[in-house]
Amino acid sequence: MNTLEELKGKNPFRMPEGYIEDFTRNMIDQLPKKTFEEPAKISWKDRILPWVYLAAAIAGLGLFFNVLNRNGESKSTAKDNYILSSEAPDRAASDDTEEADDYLDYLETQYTNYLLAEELGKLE
Amino acid sequence: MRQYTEDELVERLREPSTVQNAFAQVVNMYSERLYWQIRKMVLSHDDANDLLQNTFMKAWMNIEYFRGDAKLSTWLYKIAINECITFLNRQRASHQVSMNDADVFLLEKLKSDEYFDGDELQLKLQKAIVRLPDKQRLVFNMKYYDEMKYDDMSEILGTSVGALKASYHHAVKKIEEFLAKEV
Repeated sequence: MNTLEELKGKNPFRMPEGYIEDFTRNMIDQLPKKTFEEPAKISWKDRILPWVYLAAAIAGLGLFFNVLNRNGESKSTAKDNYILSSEAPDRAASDDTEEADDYLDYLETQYTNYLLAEELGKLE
Repeated sequence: MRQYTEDELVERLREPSTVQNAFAQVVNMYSERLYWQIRKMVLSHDDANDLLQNTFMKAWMNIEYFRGDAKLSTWLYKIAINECITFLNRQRASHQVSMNDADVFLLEKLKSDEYFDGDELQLKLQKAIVRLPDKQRLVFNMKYYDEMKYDDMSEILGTSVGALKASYHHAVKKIEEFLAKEV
């Protein structure tokens, strides 16, 4: 028989008298107290308010972008108007010049006719 | 105190009102088994006592995380084995012993341990066993001393039954060779 077979089932170790019985008692005494927290009660306000805040934030953002867009539109209208008004004076000035030229031509013709009529009167 | 089954204990461990009593029963049920498991790894009674306390303290502090997927005994064994391995690694570091060398320093304590009743032959056997790597030593102790089933060992150690059988077979061979040389 080899050594392992010879020694099988034999425990060379031992423990002190009453060790295990004392161990259980001592172990339980050593354990720190477990605290179990009650789950916090959530009121209806706590459930709904976050959603209200979220809705208000979204509405606020929407309003902000809306205002930004409107300001953008009015600026482009004014710009268009400015473009229109800057073109108009040029057209009015050229009309006036033509009229003046026409009137001058008319006056010159009248004066020439007057002078001619005078000359013709002297000859008779 | 009424004795509960393991399933009943697990249920009672989940309830704040019964957790303390249930844990006391757990300590009562498993302390001796775990003690011997630890003792055969670290050899000294004083060290085994410390590690056993650490094991149950860890179990207590983490009891709410025990989901019940594995058996309660398996969970406790795993904690105990982790405590042993950590302890042995620390001892090796303090004795400047490399992982590949035997834990011969454990035998020095054993020689003067008043709770070791073994003769010269028993001492030689322990000398052979401490030369095994940690996991192989665990396998050997569980099979040779506790006659644990390979399936149960597999659950605790997370190793296949085949690998455990091979490990035990090799452990026996190494020990027999060592003892033959020593005689």
